Amino acid sequence: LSLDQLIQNCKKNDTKAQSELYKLFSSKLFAICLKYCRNRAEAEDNLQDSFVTIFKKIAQFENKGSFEGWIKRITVNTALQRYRSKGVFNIVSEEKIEDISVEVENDDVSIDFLLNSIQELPDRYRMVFNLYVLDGYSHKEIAERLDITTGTTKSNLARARMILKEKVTTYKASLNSQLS
Amino acid sequence: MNDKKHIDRLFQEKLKDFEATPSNSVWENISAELQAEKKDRKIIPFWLKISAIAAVLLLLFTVGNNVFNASDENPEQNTIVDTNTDSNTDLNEINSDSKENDVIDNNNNLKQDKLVSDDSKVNQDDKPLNNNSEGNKLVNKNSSTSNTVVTTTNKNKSNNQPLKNKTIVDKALDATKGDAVVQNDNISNKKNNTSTTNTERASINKEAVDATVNKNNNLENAVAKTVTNEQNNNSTVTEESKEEGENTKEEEKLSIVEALAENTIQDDVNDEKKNKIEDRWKISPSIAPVYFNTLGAGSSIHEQFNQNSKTGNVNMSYGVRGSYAVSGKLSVRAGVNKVTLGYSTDDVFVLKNASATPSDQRFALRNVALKDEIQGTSFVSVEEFNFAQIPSVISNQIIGSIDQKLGFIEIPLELEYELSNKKLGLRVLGGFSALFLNENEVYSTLNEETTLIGSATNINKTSFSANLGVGFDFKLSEKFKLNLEPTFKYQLNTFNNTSGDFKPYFIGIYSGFSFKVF
Repeated sequence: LSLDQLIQNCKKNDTKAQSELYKLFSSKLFAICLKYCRNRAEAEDNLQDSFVTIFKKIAQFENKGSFEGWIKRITVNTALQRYRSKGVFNIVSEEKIEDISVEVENDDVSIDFLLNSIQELPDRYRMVFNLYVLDGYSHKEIAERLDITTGTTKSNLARARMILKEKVTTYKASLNSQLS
Repeated sequence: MNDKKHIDRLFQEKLKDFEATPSNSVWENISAELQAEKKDRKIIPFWLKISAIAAVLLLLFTVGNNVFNASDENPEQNTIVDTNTDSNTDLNEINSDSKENDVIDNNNNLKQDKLVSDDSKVNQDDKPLNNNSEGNKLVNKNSSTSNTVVTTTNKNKSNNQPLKNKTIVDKALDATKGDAVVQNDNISNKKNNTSTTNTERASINKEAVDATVNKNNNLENAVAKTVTNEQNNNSTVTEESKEEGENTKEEEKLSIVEALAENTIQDDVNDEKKNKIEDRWKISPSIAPVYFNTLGAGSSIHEQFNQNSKTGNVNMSYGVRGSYAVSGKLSVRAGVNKVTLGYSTDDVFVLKNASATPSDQRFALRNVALKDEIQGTSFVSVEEFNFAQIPSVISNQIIGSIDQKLGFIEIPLELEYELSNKKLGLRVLGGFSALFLNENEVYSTLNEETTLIGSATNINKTSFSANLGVGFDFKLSEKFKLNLEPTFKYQLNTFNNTSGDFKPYFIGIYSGFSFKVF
């Protein structure tokens, strides 16, 4: 069964096809959810909301662009809406910060650690860092999406990097102390 | 070492192909939500609309029924009164006789005082009572007293009064007044009658009981006979007069019973006539506001508008139909209606500069043939705009709507079944309509400015709808009724090549009147 055929069946609200589609993409989309959400529980909630939206809107999808890109956008949008609706974006101060460099060695830090570090970021830092660094959106796009200025997104990104650098540094220091 | 790049790259490289398996409960939740979604999205809004319409109608008719009931009761009461007057006329005939008797009696009074006293008593009793049985009782008493006081005259009167027979009474009374000439005449008349014996008379009386129509004639004869008999044999006459009094009692009772029976029979006959189909053919012109929309989320224009909100327009339909009553309750009907339908697809960006659209193919209106001057304009659903792909050039876009307008000649063929045929009648109706397209336009509305942009290419010239409705009638007369028919029409194949779950229907509240032709 090709992906196109699967999508066509999903457009007809075929439950079996929906289940197949979920199996095919849930792990990829769940990874996105884990990055954009605070924890696993919220990530699972977000995944659920994302798939419901995908199945509701699948009739609108035309086989022109990438289906995976389309469902990933929906998943990211769902996460952004989740934290926007909770009104958490304005908690963090928006003072200007110099674009600072962080020194990190490309060591074997685990994915779980990195993921946890991202999840522990304040909501907006997490959003901006994910959007800019991991998913390749421009500051302008992020600013429009989050309804803030590009200055704020840049400042948020810098703060996110600072926090992550500290976390990685501390983590490595603890690893080193364990080794020695 | 470029540190800044490094931390970004650390995350990018590590998380590039990161995948994670969610717990099984997630899919269960999604599945459950999708099931609930299906029910919520399709059934509830539709039934809400229907029940809202039903509630409004119910309200209208409760109010309407109360208002019309006041005028409703009078004609019914009149019909009851009619039957009373029928029986009254019978009574009146009897009463009028008694009154005439009174006059005669008064004439008699001038000549014979004794008689007058007896008669007047009886008559006075008769007048207010109008009650035959009581009248007869008095008569019987009278006949007994009349025998003692006066001989023949009283007996005659005693017979006359219960019988209430004027002409014979005249003659009989005149005879007893001592007027020789009249007496002779009467006697001669009576002598003619004396050929009939007492036994014959009895049989005649029995016949009189049987035949109410000939009652008066028989009574006349009977009285005449009693008069002659009295003159011949007083003793027998008194007995006979009693008998006759009793007979007349029975007669009158019977006559009233029969009169009532006749009335009821006549009523029955009338009812039967009503129940029979007098006029099988009916003609009904009607006019209706029609509301058009789709049951599911879909679009007749383009896939991208599937999720856009659709606003149904209310247009008018008018036409005429004829119906033929197959039986008392079931009718077949057909007609012709002109109907206009329309709906708006909301939240559409209209991009006047074609180069601004991401993809011409993608945002062309698939099912609309655009007019030449409109070519180059693109219509994009607001829903299509994800943050990542908003073209920055959208400065001249305005959120508008696409309005589709359709006109049909509708030929409905329906059955209707009568549930109630009271003053306020109730019917159910169902059937099909053939829809012939005669109007097809697509407009774009921007800033309340409507522009014709073309016509739809996916509408069948001929299509069908399934119809279901309820009819309310308000009967103004046997032949003339006011109608109100809320009808749901589900369009079966009006559109080709629709996207999503586009299920068009229209609801019309048909109002009009119907009259029976022949």
